[in-house]
Amino acid sequence: MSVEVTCTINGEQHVLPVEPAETLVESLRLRLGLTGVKKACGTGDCGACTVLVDGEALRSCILLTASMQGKSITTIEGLGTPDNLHPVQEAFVEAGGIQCGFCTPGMILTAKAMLDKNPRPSDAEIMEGLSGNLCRCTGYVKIVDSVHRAAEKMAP
Amino acid sequence: MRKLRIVGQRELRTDAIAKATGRVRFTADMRRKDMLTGKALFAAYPHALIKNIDVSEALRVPGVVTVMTAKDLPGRNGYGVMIQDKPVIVESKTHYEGDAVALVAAVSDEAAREALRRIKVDYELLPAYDDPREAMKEGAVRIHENHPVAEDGNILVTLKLDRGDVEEAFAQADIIIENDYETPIVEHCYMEPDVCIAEPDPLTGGLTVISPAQAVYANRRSLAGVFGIPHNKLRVVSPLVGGGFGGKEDSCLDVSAMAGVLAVKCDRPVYMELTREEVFRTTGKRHATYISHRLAATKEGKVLAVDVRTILNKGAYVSMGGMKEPLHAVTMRTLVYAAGAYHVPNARARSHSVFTNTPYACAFRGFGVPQATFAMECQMDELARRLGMDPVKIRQINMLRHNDRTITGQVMLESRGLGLGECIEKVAERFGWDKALPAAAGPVKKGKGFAVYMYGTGIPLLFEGSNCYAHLQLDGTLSLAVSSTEIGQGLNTVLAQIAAETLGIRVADVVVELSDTAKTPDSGPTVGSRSAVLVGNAVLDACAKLRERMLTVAARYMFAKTDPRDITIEDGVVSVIGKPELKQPLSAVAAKAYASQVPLAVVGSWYPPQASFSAEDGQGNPCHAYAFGAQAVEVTVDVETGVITVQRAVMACDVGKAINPVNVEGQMEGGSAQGLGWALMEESIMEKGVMRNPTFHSYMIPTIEDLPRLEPIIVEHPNELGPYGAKGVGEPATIGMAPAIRNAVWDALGIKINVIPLTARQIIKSVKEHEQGR
Amino acid sequence: MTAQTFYNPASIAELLDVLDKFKEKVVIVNGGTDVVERLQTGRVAPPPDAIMYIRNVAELDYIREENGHVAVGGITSYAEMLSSPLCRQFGGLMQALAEIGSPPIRTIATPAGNIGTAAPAADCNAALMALGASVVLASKTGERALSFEELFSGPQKTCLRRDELIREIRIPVNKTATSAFIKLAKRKAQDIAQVSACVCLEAEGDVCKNVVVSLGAVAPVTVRARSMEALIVNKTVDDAVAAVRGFVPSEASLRSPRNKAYKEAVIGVIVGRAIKKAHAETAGRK
Repeated sequence: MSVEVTCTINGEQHVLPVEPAETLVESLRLRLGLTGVKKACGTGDCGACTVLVDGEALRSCILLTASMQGKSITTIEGLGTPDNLHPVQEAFVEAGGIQCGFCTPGMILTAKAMLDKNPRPSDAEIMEGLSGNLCRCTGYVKIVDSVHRAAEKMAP
Repeated sequence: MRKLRIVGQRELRTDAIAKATGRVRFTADMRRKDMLTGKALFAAYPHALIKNIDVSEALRVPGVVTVMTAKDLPGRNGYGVMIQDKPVIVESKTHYEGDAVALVAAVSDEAAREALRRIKVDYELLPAYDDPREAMKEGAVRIHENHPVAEDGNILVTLKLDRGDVEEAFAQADIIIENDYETPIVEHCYMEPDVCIAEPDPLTGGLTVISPAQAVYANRRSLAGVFGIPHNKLRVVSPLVGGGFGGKEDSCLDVSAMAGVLAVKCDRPVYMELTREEVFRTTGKRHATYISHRLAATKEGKVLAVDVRTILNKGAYVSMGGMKEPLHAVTMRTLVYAAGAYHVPNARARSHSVFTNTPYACAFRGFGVPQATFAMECQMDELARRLGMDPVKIRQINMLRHNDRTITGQVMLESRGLGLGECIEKVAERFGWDKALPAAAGPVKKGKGFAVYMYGTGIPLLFEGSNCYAHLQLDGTLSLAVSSTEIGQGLNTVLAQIAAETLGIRVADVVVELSDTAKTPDSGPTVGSRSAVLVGNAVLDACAKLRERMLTVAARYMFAKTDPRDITIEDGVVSVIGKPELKQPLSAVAAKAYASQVPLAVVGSWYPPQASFSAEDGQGNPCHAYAFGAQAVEVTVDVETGVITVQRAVMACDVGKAINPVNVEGQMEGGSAQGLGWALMEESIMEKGVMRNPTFHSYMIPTIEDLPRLEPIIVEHPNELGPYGAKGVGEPATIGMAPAIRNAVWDALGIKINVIPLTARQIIKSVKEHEQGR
Repeated sequence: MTAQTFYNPASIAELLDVLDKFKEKVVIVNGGTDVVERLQTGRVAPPPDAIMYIRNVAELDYIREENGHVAVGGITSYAEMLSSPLCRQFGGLMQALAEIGSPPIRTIATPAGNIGTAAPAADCNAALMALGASVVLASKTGERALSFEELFSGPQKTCLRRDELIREIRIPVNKTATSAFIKLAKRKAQDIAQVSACVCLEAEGDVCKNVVVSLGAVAPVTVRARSMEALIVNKTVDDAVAAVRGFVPSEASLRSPRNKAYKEAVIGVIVGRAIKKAHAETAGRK
């Protein structure tokens, strides 16, 4: 028996009929075609599927879509466009924080949620904030640089 | 030579914006609702006879379209990178946990999973081997009854290298160092799981398979027979790859074979994605090694000889493991690099690759070289210690220099780039090697460690040609096509830079079409740190031809009576040198060429000098050029808890020419991070063929907090044969971290540990043994 | 089969009705960081008929001080506790919270959820046990309280009845005690404890007077190590640290041969360090 969930996704209201045990990552990818949300582990361990729920970075592979009633969800598609990048996206592009790109959407959204709370994080705070997002390509150096760069761009 | 305008610049990646906005489509993002779901029933027991399979209940599950066992396959039941020894579905015996026993296609994931639960398999268990030293013993149960190339029971192959007079050298030696080393099975942990879309092609009567493969042409050659179709009817496409590190050379064969046979059977598109746990249990791994290393040296610190025996855990199938023909694979590389990056006049090496019931061992960033180098770099540290010499000094004494021969007899030439000395100096200087570490008090000890390495560019003796198409458009833009994959390394950017530099256009005016057998020529697999160099040279060849044609056309039709040598092309503008008022846009010259019957499409190719390697004695020239590197680390070790923290890591790599320094740094940083994981925390724990840690919360890879701020240094000793001097950089940086960390731990604790990973558990065990004065 | 019905109660009463109706056939989803994954892979036994998401029961979301304890509601997250001034008085608890998962996990995961999961390595459970916390269980038939020592019955098992909800966690306020938590893991972030220890200490000067030691990941459940406490009481800090060093408490029951020697070697070390850390905080308070 499906559940009807009304929520806001990337600024648009959606009414989704979903299965009780359906995860948000599956709903976003398969029902709405928001494939920027990546599924890499399915166990909440890697952070690739991170989305923003009411501004908080959460893992969509361990969230039930049925629990999203009334929530506002932002995926990477809702952050910026190629012609109008969000400063965090711009910073990752410029600072070389992207290699294969599979962890990138989750990394960017986690960084964005962190910067919204802490606009000028230290190295240690960046590392703590991104410690749940696995990247196998970069060695993280340029990801730390990207977040600093984003903080500079977002500074008032 | 013209002054470089684009090569060597920190160009932004051409795919970065598409990736940053989540708009780029990886394979899984192309799933459509009309596709069936494919799933595999993997072996319940890693080594067992299959007595009976009953799929009748599974077929009754609503929504199930087909259930296949080995008897239902459309073609050859075997494939592999080097030899076709891995069945798509096993018939009568399982060899490891990742063997498929049956395949299911259904209209939903749920139905497919339910069908798997209802397949009944009767097994008769056999003893399962995790350790090749057990599996190679006399009397061990044979894992493959009739393997096409296995030499002796479970021993797939024994390869050898002999140079000089090893016995005599040991007899003359002032000092002999002898140790046994062990390195673990590790997982690639690319973030994108293995996935395939297989779709019948009604136009050709063939099949299209889309997967994040590292080698589309190799996949075509390996799989066409599995589907029972000729090569040209199998279209293999690899969209962007979400990390591979060598693993997706094989793993995408696995998932494509399974999805493909289901698609053929059902005549419908099939989507198959492995769960992360399935990726862990079923796909390839780094070869675990057991290395017995003897080293002979003079009291002045000159190494006279090495005598090395390596046993490699092959796992269940050959993959890239190594045979006598073709030779170039992981086993062979453990011979070639048995003496590291040093001039060692006498050498004997034996490498045995042995089947076990663990996942097949395959290519993994470094291809056997990290294992061999780990042993040699540990030996060198011990030599320094025993002689009371500085670890850097001992490496400088023995490092390969111009005209030195390696243990394969290859002559090292500065003209191919030989920057090891500079790497060592720069690392030592940046690190402050000469400064003593502050004395530590309490349970936390400090230490520093050093390591050097070399790594050959490419995979000669397997496939070492590269081809590309280049097609100049009438608006002055360029289309390039290569079968290589963009795997995160930034190849599309690097090739665009080479093309733009060579032809004289802007990077933004180049589009690189990648990895589709229907659209791109065979540029070889994306492995072996080869693409920027070998494919780069093919691109350079094509663009040089185009440039030549444009200069000729311009000279003939546009700037009358001008010698083509006096014309140049920069930023898409063709002009007469010294007469900037005489200029035409490249589009105008291209249009003139088009109208004048001058072809605008060319094939570029490059083949390095023929490599050689003798199966008799391991002598020859295995690679045309080598990258070199040095690495220094500082660690702290808590002797009471065993916790190691890498405080600093400085690394230099001689890459010939950094075509894009950002990408090169990215490779060095990422490679070092993988090396750190290998050294400290990564290991697939096998118990009688069953993996105990198949998740990202039980198999540890480094998080951002596990790494210090890595400090890469680019060194450039040009390779005369590389594009603009380049050498391969993808894999080398993985090599130095583990031995440098192990040597630093020795420095910190005064305890020699010859096994990685250096987990806290291992440290405490070693400390206890040391205290008990074992 | 997968669950057919989804409940999203807005009140405790509504929640308890559903629990009473389905009992073991309903799965409670709180933070979901553990159970949602198990639902996906069919590892929830018995297979549930219903899923109940309890995060919208606003009356379960609180941290307050009352009657000599700090009360934490059944859906309150780790992140809320970390930023709560009321929780700051429990040093060991704060240190344990900071070690859990990563920030996105702490945003949504809850102590009540992890108590329900009863993982032997759960960081917060070890801290709560040392602090003498208890849980209040609610059902349609009433409420009862269980101490942490009574709570866990086996690996991933609690003494909760299937119609009971973890409504509240109570941490007694003890102004004379200080606490410290230490965890060893395989890497520096987002990792499950290899061994963890929490020490809650009342000292007079340098002498340990009252102490509670809890250990994570050394037995099928989080355990209180009374055998270690006996070695500590009435000793000076230095003597206590020396006494526990190398000591393997009888409450530890280590079965995996792979990790046994390691865990045995480090239990005393981290308990000793936790004693020192807790004592240093005592000194800091004065």
